[in-house]
Amino acid sequence: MSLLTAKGIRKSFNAGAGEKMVLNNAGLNIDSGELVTILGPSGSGKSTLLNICGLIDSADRGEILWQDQDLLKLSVRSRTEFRRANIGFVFQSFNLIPVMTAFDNVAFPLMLLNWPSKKIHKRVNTLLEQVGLADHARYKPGQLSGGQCQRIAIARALVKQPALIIADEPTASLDADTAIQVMALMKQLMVAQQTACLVATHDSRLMPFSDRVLHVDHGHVVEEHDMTVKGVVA
Amino acid sequence: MKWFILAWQNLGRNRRRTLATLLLIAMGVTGIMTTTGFAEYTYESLREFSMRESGQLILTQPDYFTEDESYPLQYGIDNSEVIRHTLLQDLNISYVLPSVEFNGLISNGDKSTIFMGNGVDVDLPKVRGPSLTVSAGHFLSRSADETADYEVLLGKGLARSLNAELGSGLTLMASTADGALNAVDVQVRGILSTGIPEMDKRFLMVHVSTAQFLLDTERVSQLGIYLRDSEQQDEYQQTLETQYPDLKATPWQERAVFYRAVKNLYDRIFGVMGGVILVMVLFAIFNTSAMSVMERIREIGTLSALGAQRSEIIRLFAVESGLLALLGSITGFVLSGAISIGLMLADVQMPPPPGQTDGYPLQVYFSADIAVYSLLAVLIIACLAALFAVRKGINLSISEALRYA
Repeated sequence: MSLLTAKGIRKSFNAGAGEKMVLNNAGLNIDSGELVTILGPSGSGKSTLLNICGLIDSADRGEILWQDQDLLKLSVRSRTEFRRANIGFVFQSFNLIPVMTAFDNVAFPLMLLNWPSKKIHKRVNTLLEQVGLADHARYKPGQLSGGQCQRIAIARALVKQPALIIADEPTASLDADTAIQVMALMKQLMVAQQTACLVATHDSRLMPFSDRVLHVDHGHVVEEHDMTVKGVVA
Repeated sequence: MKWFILAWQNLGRNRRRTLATLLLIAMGVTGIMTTTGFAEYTYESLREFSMRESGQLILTQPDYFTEDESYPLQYGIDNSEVIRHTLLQDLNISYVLPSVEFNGLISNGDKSTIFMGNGVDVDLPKVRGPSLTVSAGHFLSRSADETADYEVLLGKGLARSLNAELGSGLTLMASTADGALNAVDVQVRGILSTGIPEMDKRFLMVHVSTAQFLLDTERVSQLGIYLRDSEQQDEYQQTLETQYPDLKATPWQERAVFYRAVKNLYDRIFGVMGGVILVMVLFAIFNTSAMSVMERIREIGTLSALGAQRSEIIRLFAVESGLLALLGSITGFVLSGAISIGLMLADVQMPPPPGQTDGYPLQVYFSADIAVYSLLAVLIIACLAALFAVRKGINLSISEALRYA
């Protein structure tokens, strides 16, 4: 069943002399529990499409349908409420809050949702164990390696059990081995929680973790591969 | 609570900047507290001085302060002793002191000069306290010796002008209430200083009965009513005017011209100073908040992406600034309290004000009211500064904020 459907998305930016069209009639859909990877070269519009699907950017035209509700028609406040409840984010440079401990960073989305303290402790400790950093709970991001930071960021994204995770270049700041480990961990946790995940990357090594791969170029999806069917992608 | 903890943690990001801002706020609050504390001390001293000089209420004929007298004590009070006796039955009234204001000529036999006289009660030193300075000799005797000369206290300058010393004999001349010329021989009992050199050249003080004898009248100019509790002033003003419908009870504030002039002047001076200090505090906090926002734009984007509302992000920065304001203010209170105690122990003297001979102790009151108002003002300013500073951060789109380097 389709969780999110993007239809006819157009987005342009002011680029000095004139407008630059970044997305032109782009669209995608993602089902519950599915991991969809958006591949494409720099400037192809994959991150912009991801941001619009994650409601952190607006579109000039088009629809983002979530159970038949067009999310782009929501007010700024309602979009924030929606993100708070339903979407988790993993960023390229982790974007952890430097003054907070690993525990507090993971707990932050739950505090925004006003979870009771005991429940937060239980849930965060479970997540930290799952990402293998239970003994680093009191560490601050500055005391952790890049891979550990990204695992904390994954725990933060998953802690509220969102229906969708938006991950923009989640492995770009990591070395090859760590990138594979982090992606494997993300996939494992997502499957366990039945969370859908939309990943933008230019790293083709992440394709094996995907259920589907969308190739974006010149502002729209040019190819789509179903990775669950053997032999489609070599 | 979560935002409060996060705000507290954020203050530790750039400790040097936080400390510098905190000290600037502390200095500002100390400045406000000490200047207003000095003004409060001055007001309190002048209030005390004025009340001691006249009493909280001054009972006179209704026209006494507004009309010029055609002859001495035209607007004086009759039966003052009866009124005084009646009022002293009231336990809330500690003293009722009559006084007679008069003027005339004083002569040492060789030289005559004009004087401004005041007939006073022997209890006057009890209410005037340290504000009545007899620099040589003694105050007027409690019971006048009928066989001896009348007593006089001369202003320092007047004594010098007449070459008078303690025990010198002088003659006072004045018009009586009937318009005749009268004279009385007096002996110098003491020399006093009013603190105002020009006043000291003309001023003298005699017993009420001496002034009445000279003016050939039973009247007094006014009765000073000294209440045990100044809070009862308004209540007693009404009571007195009901009790004595032919007389008027004037509050001391209406006659304390110097007090009102100083208060008006200081209110303006220290008001402007306070305003300047608060503007400085505003800029300091704004600067700190603005730098903090610029350094944390990407973080603002992250918080927004995670679901923090704009209002929550504004609140975070406002709480940070508010905490700075609170800590700075508390430091300022401690500093101003230390200055207040230090000045009390050090006994620093202020130079004499223009036209006066005596300085006065430099003291600074620590006022809890002013502390609360300062804290509120600094907190409001801190929140406003944070609000202006954070606008840039929250007005960017989230994706722009996340890309911000």
